[in-house]
Order: sequence, then C-alpha cells, then structure tokens
Amino acid sequence: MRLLDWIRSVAAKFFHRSEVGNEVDDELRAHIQLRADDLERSGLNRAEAERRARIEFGGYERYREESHEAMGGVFFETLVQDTRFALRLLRKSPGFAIAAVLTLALAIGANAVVFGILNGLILRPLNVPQADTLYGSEYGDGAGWQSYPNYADLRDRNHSFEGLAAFNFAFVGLDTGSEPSLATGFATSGNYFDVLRIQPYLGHFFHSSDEHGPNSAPYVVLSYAYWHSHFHGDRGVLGRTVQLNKHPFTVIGVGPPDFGGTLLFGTVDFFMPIINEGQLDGESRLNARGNYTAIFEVLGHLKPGVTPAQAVADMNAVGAYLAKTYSKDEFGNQSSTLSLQGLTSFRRPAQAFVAGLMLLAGLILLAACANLGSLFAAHTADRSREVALRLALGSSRRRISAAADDGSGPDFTCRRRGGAPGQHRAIASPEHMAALCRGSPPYTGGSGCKGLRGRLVIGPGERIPLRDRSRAAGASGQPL
Amino acid sequence: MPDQAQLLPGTLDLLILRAVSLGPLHGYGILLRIGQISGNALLIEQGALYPGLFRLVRQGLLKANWGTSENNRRAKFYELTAAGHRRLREETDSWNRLATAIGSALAPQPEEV
Repeated sequence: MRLLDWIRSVAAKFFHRSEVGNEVDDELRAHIQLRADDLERSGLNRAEAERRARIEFGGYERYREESHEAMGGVFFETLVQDTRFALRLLRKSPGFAIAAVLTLALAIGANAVVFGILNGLILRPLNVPQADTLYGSEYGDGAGWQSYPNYADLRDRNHSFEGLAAFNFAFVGLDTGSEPSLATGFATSGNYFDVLRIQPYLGHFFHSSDEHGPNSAPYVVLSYAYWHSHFHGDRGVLGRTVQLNKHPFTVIGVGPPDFGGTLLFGTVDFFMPIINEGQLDGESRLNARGNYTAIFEVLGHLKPGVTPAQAVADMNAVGAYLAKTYSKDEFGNQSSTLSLQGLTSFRRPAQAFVAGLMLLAGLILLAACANLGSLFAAHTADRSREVALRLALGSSRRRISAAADDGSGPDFTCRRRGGAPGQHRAIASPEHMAALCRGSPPYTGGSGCKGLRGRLVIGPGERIPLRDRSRAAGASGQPL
Repeated sequence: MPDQAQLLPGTLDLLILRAVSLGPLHGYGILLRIGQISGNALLIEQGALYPGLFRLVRQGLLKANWGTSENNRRAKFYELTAAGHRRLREETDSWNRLATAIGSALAPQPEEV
C-alpha cells in the first residue's frame, strides 16, 4: 500500500513538476514576506526588512531543493538535470569529451569482440537438432585424435549413446569437370547424418548400410554453400560424377542450408564416407588400432536419462576391455572424456586461447579505466572553482560529493556515448570472423556488450542558481 | 543570543507536530509558535523548517491547505491528521522516557555526594 502511494506520488510529481516547484516557491516566498512584515512593524523600512528576512531564511535554493526532495518523486528530475548538466560540461571541454569517449569506445569494443569470440567458440551450440544432448566422446591419450578400430568397438559395445558418428578431415583436389580446385571435406562414418538427425536439402545422404568394406561407397554429399558457389544451385547435380584426387565419386545429395559440418569454427565443402578415405591417400588408416590419426572427432546423442558421467564410466569400461584385449597395439594410457561436441579435439587449445584473450581484454579495460580515472581527476581539479561556487550558492554537499566519488557526472554520459561506437565495432568484428571461418548466419554481436556498457552513475547536476544574489550571504542561521 | 541551544537531530519534526497540535498554522506561524512555547531557547534556521514540513505531509501526519494569513497574505496552513495526533503522543512519550533516563543518569549519584 505504502509502495503504491509512493509510486503514485512519484508519478504525480513527475508529471506536474513545474506546478509543484511553483507551489514550493510560493510557500517559501510567503514565509519571507510574512517575516518581512513583522520586521517592518518593528521599525525597519520595507527594503531592509525584506533583505533581513531573506538572510534569516537561510540558503533559499538549498531548502527549496530539499523541500522538493522531501516531497518525493525527484529521482527522474534529478536524473534529467544531471544529464543536462553533464552534457553542458562535455560541450564546454570537447577535447576531454572526445578523449574519454574514444577510450571507452576502444575498451568496450575490445571486450565485446572477445565476448563474440567466446560466444562463437564455446557458448554457442552447433546448428543441429537437439544439440543439448549431443556430446563429443574422446577416447585417447588426450591429444584429440582417435583410432578407427577403437571407435568401431566403442560404437558397437557402449550402452550410453544412441549412435556414435566419427569424422576426419579430407583435403582433396576436387574436379567438377571444368576447373579442379582444392576443397575441404569431412570423411565421415556412414551413420554421420543419421546420428545428427539432419535431412538433406536435395537427394539423399549415405548411411551405415552403404558401408561394405574399403572403398565400397564412392559417394559425396555437397554442403549447401559449396553447391551454391561451385554448382550455382544446379539441381541437376545429383548423379553427376566428380573426381576427388582423381577418383570418381557420385554426388548423391546436398546438405541443409544452415549446416556446414560439426566444428564450432569453420565449415566444409563436402562429406564423403570414411571407408573410402584410403582412395584419397593411397593407403587406409582404418585397420591400424595403434594409428591415432584416423579420426578427428567422435560424437553422438546420449540416450534419454543417461548422464555424461554415466556415459564416461560406460565408455571407460569398454576402453578397459579394449586395452586388455589389444595390449600389443601400444595402447598407452587411454581414457574417455565427454565434452560439448564440436570442440572435443580443440577444447584445450580453444580454452587457452579464449582465456588469454579474456585476460588481454580485461587488461585493456583496466588500462582504459586508469586512463579515464586520471582524466577525470585532472578535470575535477580544473573544476575546483566551480565546486566552490556551487557550495557557496547552496548546492547540497551530497550531490557534489557524488561527483567526487564517481569521477563525475559526465562520466555517465561519456559511458553512454562510448558504448555506442564500441558496440558497432563489436558487431562488425565477429561478423567478419564468422564470415572468414564459418559462412553461417552472422553473429549479432550487440548482445555481448550489454553487461559491459557501464553502470549508471548519477553525478553532479546542480543547477547553479543565479537569480537571487542575496542568498549567497544567507548561509548562517539567524535566530528568530 | 548565546543561550540558544542547537536542535538535536530528529527533534524538529516533534516540535512541528507539537506546534501544529495547538491549531492550524502556516510555516512562519509554526516557527513563531515554537519560539513562544520553547521560550525562544532553540536555534532553528528558518528555511530548515520546510523540508521537515513536506516530509510530514508526505508521511500523512500533517495536511495542508492554502488560506489567508492575519495580515492578508496567501499562505499554506498546516494541521494535524489523526495519524499526526497519534504520532505526537507516541513521540512525546518516548521523548519523556529518554529525557528522564538521560536526566537521571546525569544527576549526581549518592556515592558522589
């Protein structure tokens, strides 16, 4: 109830500001007149009586402000006054304003860019259905890469994943008949698209059922972006034969528009079955259990109700069985870990990279704050005369000391202004980054810097009253 | 006037309530009434009265109406609300308890005599 009253009085005061101000003025003036009447009766002439009455009243402007505050609802008014005052101060010293705005813009921009990178690398999920249950599984020595026979055993013997898919990189010369060019693709397990639960844009994908031993599935699926850029969106591409490293592969499908592979950075041009990768290199790595360069990453959806910890235990149990059974193949010290898919193999370097960037951005922000601090200190020193004047004219100490605490009122305004260019910078940079390495819908970097855009600081905003010169003299208390 | 005492913080509100309890008054009248009932022993800067008055109005202890003063000036008159009466009673009691306690603590003790 009390809160409601307060809100109502705040709203009323806000909307009838000048009315209220006039009423306070009327009342205070009436007081001075009444006092002057009494003094006049005691023998003074009118002018002298009014002068004395004003002196006895004390700091008129101060009490007027305090009265106003006591009525409630001055917050917005103070805010508006402070902002106006801050803007006036900035206009008065444009060099200072530009330096402060630039400092803030650079620091905020740097931080927003780093957040964009963090978001792109770590926070953002892959663009596949139900990405929250999709985990990367790493069974190896911590270097990221895995062996194909181990993968096949883990895939068939675990009880935690609905399916496990695997992929490796394939860097090939791709000849479409006219101009051979270098292309980057994934050599994937047959179940790759089924495990990811995605559907082709055109044609069909290959499946586990297509795998009939080495080099038995000479199919290739193009990514949507590559299809557009190299085949001009030609629907007749299905069934055509292209040469991968001089070996014929049949184009059987085109991936969905927003899918460029299962890496959090970078997109690929095509997908081919991993059982055919021997054709590209001349020798197959799929049969050597000790060869840890065959698979870059293994991933799959956890079964409903299975936690990552349970899955790790399950995978380790299978791993222990493998280590015991195939000890002659130099197993070393292997164990399983799960992580957000898309980052399994790059997790550690990526984390180190982002941590380094965050540290750097933090230092930049710190340096900017220090710079700004000294700027404001210098600026405040310049304003000592003004502060003295405002005190003498009856400004409340609270609002002046707010200035000293926070650096200054213009601080707030500077931050607001610094925020905008900083954000623009941030929006531009992650977009460029994404364009460079991803090709997926550009990241809108604006959200990154919301939290960084400075706290709301209410600095000084006293109007310096110059209408009534006599009140400067009336600071001392006069008895009745 | 060397004999005037500074007000203790918070006591101005009590004095205002007391002054107004004797009948509706405008701001200047309240100051005169306080001077009269305290034997002019208290030092109050005149302007300091108004923030206090507005605060009490906001708390619903006083209500204010514009009227005309005895010498025909437009002025705002204050009077106590029911809540104001209640608050005045409570504050008076608590002030008396405090004054008694401080007084007896400061009075000469038997062992000092």
